Amino acid sequence: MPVTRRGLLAAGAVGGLALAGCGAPDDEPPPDAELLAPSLAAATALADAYEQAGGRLGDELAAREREHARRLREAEARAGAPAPAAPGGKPFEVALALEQAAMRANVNATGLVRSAANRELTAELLADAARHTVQVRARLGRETLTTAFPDGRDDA
Amino acid sequence: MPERPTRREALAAGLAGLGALALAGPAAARGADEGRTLTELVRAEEDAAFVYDAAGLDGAATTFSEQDTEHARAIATHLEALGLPTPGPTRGRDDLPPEALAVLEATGEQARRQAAMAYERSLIAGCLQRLGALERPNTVRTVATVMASHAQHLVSLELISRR
Repeated sequence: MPVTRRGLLAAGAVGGLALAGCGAPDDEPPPDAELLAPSLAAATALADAYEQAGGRLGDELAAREREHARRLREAEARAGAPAPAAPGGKPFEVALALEQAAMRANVNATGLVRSAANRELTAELLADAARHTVQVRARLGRETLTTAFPDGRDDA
Repeated sequence: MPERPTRREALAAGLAGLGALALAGPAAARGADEGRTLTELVRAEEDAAFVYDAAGLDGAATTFSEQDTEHARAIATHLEALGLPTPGPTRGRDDLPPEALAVLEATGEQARRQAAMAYERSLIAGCLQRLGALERPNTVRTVATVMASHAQHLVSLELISRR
């Protein structure tokens, strides 16, 4: 199979995010508890945002995010990381921006965590955040499948 | 210009290369595991692109096929970085996994969509199961985002079903 420029860019783009998230490639990554902390902060903020949104979708996704937070605490994620920045606006718009932040946190962590269980956890949370962005985009009447590599960097 | 190897030749050459790597010591054996895993993942994405091209599924099938082709190309860059050949595009139904064949053989739009959902679940599981064999952070991230993309395909099919 010929590897195209587009394919290289896609693989490189994910690599670029990695470099942006962890400093020089040879740096020793922080402990798993630190790497998971931004994911926990995002899940907590998302649970609040979806509770605010309410309705069937808001309630469903708030429950999912509380479950994410529970799993991250079980994995000993450090509490107290700052909540990701989100623009003001309608609750689902805010939630979409927070989902993007959650994806970035989980992509960064999944490449660096030491434990296999934490690698699986962050990959599953990334996949769930990607699912939620489709559900929320559909709710907002937006195009849903905007990228082949949902990593939180496509436009919210 | 050298001819491109067929998909079967690329797989055979890849496996031979992996065998040589495995004989070269523990670090090389880990590389062989990663190479084998990446080869399987590229093949799975090429299969998915073929299935959605051929399935005649209403809705997002064209987008799925295009995105699966992008996945295959991105994962292939990691395989090439290991110095291993990449499998070519899937040309026919031979060697497709049962979940993929089920999409092609389903009768009626609803049944085909249900089969596609099961197929997407199998692709997600395939990525998740293989994460542990990957060594490099960027490779792990690429496969994790491919898995996330399949989660998006799955929920898109669920949303179409509810309409």
